[in-house]
Amino acid sequence: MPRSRWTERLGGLGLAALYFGVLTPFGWCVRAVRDPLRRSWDADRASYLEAPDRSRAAP
Amino acid sequence: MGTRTGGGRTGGAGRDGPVLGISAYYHDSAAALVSEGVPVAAAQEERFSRRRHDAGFPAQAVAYCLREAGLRLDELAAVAFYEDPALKFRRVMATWLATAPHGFPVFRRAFPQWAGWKRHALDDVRARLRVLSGGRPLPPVVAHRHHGSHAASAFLPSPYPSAAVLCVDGVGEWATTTLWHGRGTELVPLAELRFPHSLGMLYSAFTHFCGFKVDSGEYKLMGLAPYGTPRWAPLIRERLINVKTDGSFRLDLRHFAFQYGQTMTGRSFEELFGGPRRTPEGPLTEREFDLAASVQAVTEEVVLRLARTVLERTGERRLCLAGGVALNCVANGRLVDESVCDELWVQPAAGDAGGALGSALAESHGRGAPRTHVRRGTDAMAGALLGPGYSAGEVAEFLDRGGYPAVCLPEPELVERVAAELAEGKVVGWFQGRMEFGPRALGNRSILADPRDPGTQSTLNLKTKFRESFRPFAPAVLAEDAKDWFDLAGESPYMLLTARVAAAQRRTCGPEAEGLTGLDLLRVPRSTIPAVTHVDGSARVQTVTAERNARFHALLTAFRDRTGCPVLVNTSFNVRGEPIVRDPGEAYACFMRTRIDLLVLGDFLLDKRDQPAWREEGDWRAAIPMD
Repeated sequence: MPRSRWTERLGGLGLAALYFGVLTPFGWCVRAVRDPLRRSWDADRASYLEAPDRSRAAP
Repeated sequence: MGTRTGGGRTGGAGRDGPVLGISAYYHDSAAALVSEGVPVAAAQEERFSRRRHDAGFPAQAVAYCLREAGLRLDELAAVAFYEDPALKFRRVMATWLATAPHGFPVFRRAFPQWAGWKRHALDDVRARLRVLSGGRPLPPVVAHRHHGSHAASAFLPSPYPSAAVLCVDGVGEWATTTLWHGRGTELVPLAELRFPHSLGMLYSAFTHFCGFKVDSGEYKLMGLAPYGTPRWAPLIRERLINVKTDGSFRLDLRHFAFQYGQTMTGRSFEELFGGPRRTPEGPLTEREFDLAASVQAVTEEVVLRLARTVLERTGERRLCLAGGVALNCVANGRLVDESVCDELWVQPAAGDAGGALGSALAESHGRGAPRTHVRRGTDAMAGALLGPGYSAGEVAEFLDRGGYPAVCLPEPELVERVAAELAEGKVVGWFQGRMEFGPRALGNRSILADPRDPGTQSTLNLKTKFRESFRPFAPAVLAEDAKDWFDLAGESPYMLLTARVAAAQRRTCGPEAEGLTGLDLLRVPRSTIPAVTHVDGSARVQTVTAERNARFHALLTAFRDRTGCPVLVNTSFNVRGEPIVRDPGEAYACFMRTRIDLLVLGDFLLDKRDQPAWREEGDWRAAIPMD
């Protein structure tokens, strides 16, 4: 399965820079506002079920 | 009436016609072809490539489906892909953002693949289909949602005009658990749980921790559970999974590593459960037995609660299941035993291979195909016998080419002869008709043996299947006699329900059983059919009717008439780590490499004693990775 050519050019160091230099701080900012993985247990909730995602699949 | 599955474009000009479904790129790639809402062909790629759980594009399975249907790609209305790669990529990115700075090793390995092609997987599908099409135009390739494909595979081929539908797996795009209402040809989504809160991942985490392979060892963990006691279940509920009354749940991710790591569990998981994970192939201890029993108990509790919830929300009393967790036949058995639902139907290919079939069905019914089988009160799976078959001529040619001695017998004589051999304790490789779709052998690619012999389980495990000794075998039983041998009220045609062996067949264990634990429990026969009776008195039953499989039914009848027992051991025709055999050559190789005494290829009977010496280069066992 083909890998992306631009990531091949980045190499290990470039991917590390992307991960620790861009993704990680951006992730911290996102998590300061909300947790995308909804990690906390909530004793006050009767259910963790959520409304279904009704958006259509990509063409 | 169209199909609404929460996703999936249902075609340009409303053109109906045959639809090809494809699942690929994660595990258990498969292809399925549906015509006018009826499955015509379906097969997993692993059976062709001989790579267990093959995740690659299922080119050979696609070619088979087209061949079986007598169609070219340009004659199809559409190709349906079983999930939405773009949405899956957004979940992967969101997870990386949520877990950084942990998880760099996984990011480093996975990001180039995602950036390169995975999020454009449909383009890869189109490119590979172009190769197969020989330059002819392609039909539209459309994506359905992963859980929509599971739900479609569960409901649309079921015999029910309407039903509650529950899909539980590891994860698709985001959803890990979905609840639906199926009516006519429509599926209405009701609720869902999202990654990383996944019952499938929880079970896989314990599979990994007990030293088995994820995505292939879960049923081994299920088989281990009856050897233990669920003493860890309270700790699991307290620290790992918070379960609400309606069955919804959240995991405590501090103990898991699957969301960011290359392993399922972290250091704190080891601290909770008294030490590091079991080394693969290492000795099994009481801890693993009890962990298996514990996670099994918690899983059953969640499945039962979720089932009650979806039945309540829909007002239905019939339930359809799919998703990998639906292969947990012990949980399924409880749904029936405890009358959680009045009727239960489980998709035989409940895992991701079934997504190929589900997406094709969703697309086909979305284009207006009716569910004609519902009027007949049957399901549309044709006994799950949707794979390739081989004619008598093809088998004869194979035997002639190899110079393999065989006798050709008419069916009445064949089944009588095989029944006699089975009754004398012989192990028979039984290769008939079209190959099964899904993980279970249902009497067309099966190894059969006499369940009455206490030594059968050990002999089959160690000398024929070469697999772990704790693993039980499953029975096939004549449907009309099933209630005398198992506590089973209805049918179980796809071997996806466990039931207790009937009281009349159970045997009280004597003083020799006192104080026995773990694998020592195997030594004590618990019924008149010990080879298929698990240590807790249960069995994973297949009921066989003449309508679904006439020849297998005839064999069971002949065995019953000879012995009084309408039950046979039915295990898959393969050795550990190998996919189930597909063609006569693979069947013959398995026959010659193992202690199988007789091989039946269609009408042809082969005796091991008559065969030429088996020679092959290298050690075949080294070539098959352990699962």
